[in-house]
Amino acid sequence: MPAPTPGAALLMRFSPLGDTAILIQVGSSIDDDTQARVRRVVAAVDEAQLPCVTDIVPAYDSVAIFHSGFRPRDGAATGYDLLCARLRTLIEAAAADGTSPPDRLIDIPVHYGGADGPDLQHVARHAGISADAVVALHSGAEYRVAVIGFAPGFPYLSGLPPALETPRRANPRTAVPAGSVGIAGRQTGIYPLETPGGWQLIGRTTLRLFDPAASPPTLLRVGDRVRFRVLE
Amino acid sequence: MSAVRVVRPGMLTTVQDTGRTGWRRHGVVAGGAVDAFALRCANVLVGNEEHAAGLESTITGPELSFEDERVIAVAGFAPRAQLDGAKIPPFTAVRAPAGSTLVVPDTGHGVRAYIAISGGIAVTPVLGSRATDLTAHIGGVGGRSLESADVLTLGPQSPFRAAAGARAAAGRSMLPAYSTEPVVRVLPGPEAERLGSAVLTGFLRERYTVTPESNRMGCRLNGKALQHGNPIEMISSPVAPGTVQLPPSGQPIVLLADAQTIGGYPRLAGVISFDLPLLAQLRPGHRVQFVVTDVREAERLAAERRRDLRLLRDALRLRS
Repeated sequence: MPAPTPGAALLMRFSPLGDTAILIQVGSSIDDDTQARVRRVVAAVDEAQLPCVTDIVPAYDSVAIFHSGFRPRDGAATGYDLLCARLRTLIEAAAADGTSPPDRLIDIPVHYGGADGPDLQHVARHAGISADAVVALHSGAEYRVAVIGFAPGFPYLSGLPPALETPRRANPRTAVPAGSVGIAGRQTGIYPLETPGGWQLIGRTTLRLFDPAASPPTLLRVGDRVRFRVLE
Repeated sequence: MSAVRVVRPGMLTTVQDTGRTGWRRHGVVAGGAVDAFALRCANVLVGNEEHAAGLESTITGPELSFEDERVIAVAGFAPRAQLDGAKIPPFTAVRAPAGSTLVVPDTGHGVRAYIAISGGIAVTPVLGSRATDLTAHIGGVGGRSLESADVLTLGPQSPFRAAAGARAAAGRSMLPAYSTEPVVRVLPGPEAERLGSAVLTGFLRERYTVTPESNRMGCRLNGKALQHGNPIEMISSPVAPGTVQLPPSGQPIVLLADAQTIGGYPRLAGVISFDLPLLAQLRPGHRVQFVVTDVREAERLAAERRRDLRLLRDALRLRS
């Protein structure tokens, strides 16, 4: 997929995701520009409040638009064709408008190491630096919520300092405590619920990332900027 | 408020409605009845809204005792059900007198059977739905499957409930073509082209066997491994119920109601919503074959089914 030229219309490719959703591809890599395009598509479709749109799922380089199906129609165009055309028009209009959706900076207090970060020493050894240096690097960076998936409220954060990249554990744990902060490859993230997991755990936050009774039910949104703050 | 008592829960019985839609961007799975048609149809037969909460049972269904008189319907692929010891046919509204007992000893040929009760099951909705999410532990009865001695509050019955004396039933022509070896229609998936036409052709040629690792999250299939010459570097992307994933093993997985919102495997195809009930009923050992269709046909079939349910509801209202 070619990189869009600055100022050009938002380059999008539409395809069916089964017959209950439409996939809009806006890029083909994990990078800030592509994620910004994803956020603009989501904002435009949210704003339009189309009655047939039932859900929107942003990912790294694409957005899925779920719909409630279409009336039978005569003529050459399918319901899918017509909805794609409508989506393209409203997204391009929003892009031409030039406004970017506002982003938020979320502060996550973390207790690093000890019982809360059983893999901190392993990450330090793998990087060839001290545990303190790992904490300084991890908490010194600014991250972006690229995707939420795998579990309710589970954020995949981009922006991990390359020195901290560590492969997943060979044997996943059967239970990772809720609030655990971990590293897997180039990604860092936080477990919202207790689940099995193979990420390298370096710390833990007491913030609740998912609360079904809260409105909205998740702390983080795609596009949020995140900083981890060291709790002594 | 009247209730139904769970005498025996069955193997895996959960409160389900048509799912928790609108929250996928938060990583919240939509879930709901895997065979959504069976639940919707059973609901219409007992005078409920299509999306009302009922029970989804697996392999061995529950034994339930009704406190007051209700209209009930059991739906699926030839489930066996008895009311006070007498057999009742599937997809049929039946009057359950106060104090009567319903047993679903066997979900029949299919793996899941649905029980709709007039008034619906009145558990507190979570994020807009009463569906049970067993992984996130939300919805239904405390986010878990039913246990003996559970007491489920029922909602008020609709004044338009089916004239149960006349044994209202769904016509056979509106039912899915349930089979132990169905042919299921798909649309090509977003990665079909990148995987190469040989892969899609191989997928359509194979008769797959359903493995015991299948569950509400997905139907895991076994057949001749599909080899893709160029392994795709896949960036995690949205998936939907019906999405056919192709992991490195070459053995496809068809995602179902409880699938996670984002997936990391190539999406080879997507089962059309009209045919999802066929997959929803497959037991381990059953076989399935796939055939390609187009968007127009998928839309036509889905619209036809919505119309069938509307006509059934209208016909029942006229009779009561």
